[in-house]
Amino acid sequence: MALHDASETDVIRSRKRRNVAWICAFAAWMTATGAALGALTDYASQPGIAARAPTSWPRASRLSRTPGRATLVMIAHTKCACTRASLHELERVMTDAGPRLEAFVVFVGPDEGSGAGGLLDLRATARAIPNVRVIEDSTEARVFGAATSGQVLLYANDGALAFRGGLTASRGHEGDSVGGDAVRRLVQGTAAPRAAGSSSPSDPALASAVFGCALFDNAKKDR
Amino acid sequence: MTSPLDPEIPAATTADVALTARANELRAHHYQKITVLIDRLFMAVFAGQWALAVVLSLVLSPRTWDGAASQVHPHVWFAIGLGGLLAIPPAMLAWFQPGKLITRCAIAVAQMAFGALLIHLTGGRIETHFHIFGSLAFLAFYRDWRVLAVATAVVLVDHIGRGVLAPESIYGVASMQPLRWFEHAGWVVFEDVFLVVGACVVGQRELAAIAKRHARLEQKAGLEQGMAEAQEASRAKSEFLANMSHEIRTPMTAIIGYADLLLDPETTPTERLTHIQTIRRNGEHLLGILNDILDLSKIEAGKMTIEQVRCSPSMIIVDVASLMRVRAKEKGLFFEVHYQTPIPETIQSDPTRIRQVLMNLVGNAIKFTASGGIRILARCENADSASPTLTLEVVDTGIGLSEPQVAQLFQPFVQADTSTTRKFGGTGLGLAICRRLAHILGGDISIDSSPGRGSSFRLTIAAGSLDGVKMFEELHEAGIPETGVALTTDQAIEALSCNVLLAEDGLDNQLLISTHLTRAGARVTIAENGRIAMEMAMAALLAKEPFDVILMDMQMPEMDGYAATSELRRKGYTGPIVALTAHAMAGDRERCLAAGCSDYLTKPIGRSKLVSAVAEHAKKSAPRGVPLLSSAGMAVASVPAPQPVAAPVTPAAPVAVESGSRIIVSDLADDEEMTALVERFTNNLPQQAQRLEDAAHANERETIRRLAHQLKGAAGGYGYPSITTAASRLEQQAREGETFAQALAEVCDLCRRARAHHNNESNNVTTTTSTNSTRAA
Repeated sequence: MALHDASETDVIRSRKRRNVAWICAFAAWMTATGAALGALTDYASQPGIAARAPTSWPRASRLSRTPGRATLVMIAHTKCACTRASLHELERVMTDAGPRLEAFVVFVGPDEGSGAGGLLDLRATARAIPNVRVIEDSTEARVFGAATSGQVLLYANDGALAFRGGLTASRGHEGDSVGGDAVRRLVQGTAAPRAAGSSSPSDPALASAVFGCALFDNAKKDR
Repeated sequence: MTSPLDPEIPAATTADVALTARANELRAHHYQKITVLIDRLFMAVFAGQWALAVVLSLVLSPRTWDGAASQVHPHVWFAIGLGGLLAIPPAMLAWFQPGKLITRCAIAVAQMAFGALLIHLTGGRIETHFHIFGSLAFLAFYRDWRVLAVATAVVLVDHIGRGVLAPESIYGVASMQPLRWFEHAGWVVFEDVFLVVGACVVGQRELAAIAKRHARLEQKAGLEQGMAEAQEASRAKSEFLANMSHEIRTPMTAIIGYADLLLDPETTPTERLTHIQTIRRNGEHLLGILNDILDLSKIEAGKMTIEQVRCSPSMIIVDVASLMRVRAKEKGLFFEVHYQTPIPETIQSDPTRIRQVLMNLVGNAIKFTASGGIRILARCENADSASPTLTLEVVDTGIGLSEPQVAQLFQPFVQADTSTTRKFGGTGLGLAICRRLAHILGGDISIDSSPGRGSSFRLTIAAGSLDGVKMFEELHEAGIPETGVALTTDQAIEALSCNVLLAEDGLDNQLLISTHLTRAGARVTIAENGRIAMEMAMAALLAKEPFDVILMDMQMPEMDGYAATSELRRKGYTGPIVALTAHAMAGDRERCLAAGCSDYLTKPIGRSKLVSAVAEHAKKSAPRGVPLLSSAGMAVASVPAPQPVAAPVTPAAPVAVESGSRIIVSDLADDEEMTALVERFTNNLPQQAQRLEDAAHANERETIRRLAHQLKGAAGGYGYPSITTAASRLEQQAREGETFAQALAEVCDLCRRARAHHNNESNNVTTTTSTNSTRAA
């Protein structure tokens, strides 16, 4: 009887130990999962280098801006995965703004000038957006001081820089964002220039982080 | 696996408790099956999601760029690494711990995290968020609110955590706004409400209802099955009783009919003898049926005792062959024994039961064979393995059997066809018993047969370990003379020339056994108990005239046979001592052999069996002048030299039939040589009955037991098996402290009626004569 009890107790203990082991493994796995998801969020939230953009429309630019009309310039990498989300957000901004706003998308990339098409080609997506003109010219990108794909610069009717930053909330993410919201309000005239978002007293424009690939080699080193 | 939202099905009344318990058991079992199934489904879902994540990352964000230079995009690594982390551990849980709560919870966490991964990979598209809502619906298949709670908790933690740490990444704003998280996660909670109510609560109730319905159906089916089984058992019992009744009534009708004829005064002595033989034959048949029924009942009740002793298969084959060859020859059939493989000198089994089965198979073969003959083929299979078997195949050239006949051959009371009993006799129980015995012996019986071409019955039995056992290639190597066992009485009488010491306390058995032996040519000395026997044996040894054989009754006053034999062996006596006992239980043989006996005979002892056994042991005994005392032994002196008993009693008139309502006649009635002995025994029976009754009045149970034991051992030898049976019952009841009045009355009645026969015998003759005289007049 005693032997029987002893073996029963052993069985219960062994079962408990096994259960504890499973629960520990479960907890470890939860931790690893949480950490991995955290790392993914952290990666997505890492901004690129902000543009050193001219505070007024640059004379060196060959883009033909319509005087007296707000102009948006987006500089994008032809291959960057984040560009798609930026273009979708641009489409939302342009749709909301209507004829009050014209835009240029300047593409930079290894296949620059090839005009490559295809279902996933970003240039085709850009061309489909109303009031948007597409060019492929890395020189223009440099004129505007852009370093990160998705960089948006908004010049007001008078040619002064009103906004610089990105239209996405994180790398490649569509949806509401600080930058998109600022552009929309500037175009609608509900945002005051030189607001709290401006990066410095010498730079009167609103600003937000820009999320995307580096436009030029060693751009990060340049910063 | 019960969830708190699905309490056990309540029992309404005490009568419902069993039903409710069963319903709960079924519900738990069903729920377990469902959860295991869903666990397995999720394993497939995880594999699919992992693959989808990798494909999406490769299509949407294969590389990350630094100007013209590129490298693999981190999304690809996240899809592979994080996807694997989310898919593999829950899948392992689903495989190793299916149906467990921890597995379900892990699956819920992984499924929601997969949603987060896919949303990241697709750039936060609103469409991908439907994965979360779909997953909740899928998780609701578990019908467990805790699973939905865990999944929802993952969404809430993600939204609140990221809202605090990186608000723009999830809400698109620079800083966390109060309850913004609820705006997003609220939809998940909204869906949860419907899923908990619709899937969990209602789903569990439905499961409970199904389980209860199932339990009711089971209960109903169980009752119906029980009823059917009871009816089947009743039918089988009725059929068995009808068969048994028929089988018993047939010989009983003959017995009563011929007994009536015996009562007819006009029956001539020759006719009487014929009638008596008919009655006896039918009585034997009846006894055979009753023995068979008893055997079958014992086997089916699991009370059949089987010995496991080393025994010689060759000896068993020779025994059976010796007995059956005579019957085969009478029918003009050949009879052969062949060894197909070497046969072990001994096997571990029950020789009595093997002999019984083999005898039955050979008996059937002879019975159903009109021309040609019978072969016994013996072979040992798997001799080198741990479980060797012995096969004894009985092949005949008889009428054979059709397939349907073979199919029902081993059913009790079923013979090949209804005319078989009429034509060949038999109870229809033999093969049923044989097969059951074969099963008990660790084997089976199988048949090959076709009508008109004969049959082959294969008896296979477990042989036990054969390590170090000698193997014989042929039967004659075993050195067993076939005629040795089947000696006829006449041959035996010629064979005996030896000194026998008979240790026996019962006067009747003293007389009977000594008569059998002296007629066979032996000189018999009688000792009344074990102590005298021991002293006589040692004295004869010292006088250099040792006994060739000692026949030792094992139940004797003062010193019993066990003690006497042990003492003799202790003193170094090496001559053969053959135990005589009225017990025929399975353990008796071992007990006698353990006490030092060389062999074992059970009472009542037939003449030929007794003489054969003495002849066999006398041959083995040391020649005259060679001491039968081992060096360790010490002689005992001062005992008078034994005196041989007087010549047998002069034969008298043959014992005839007792007249009266019930007749007892000695089986030896037709044996002239035995008449005087039987008469002497019978004359003494009323005194035996009186002694029993006196002991009963004095309430001396032990005396009754001893007297009944003596009567049991002796009566059978004098041809009164009915007295043996009754005395055996009385002995048992006296020994076990039961009420024995009825058994005592029966024994005394039988004794007096057997004695009364002799008084009536002369009267009968007188009556017959006077009747004839009257007729003549």
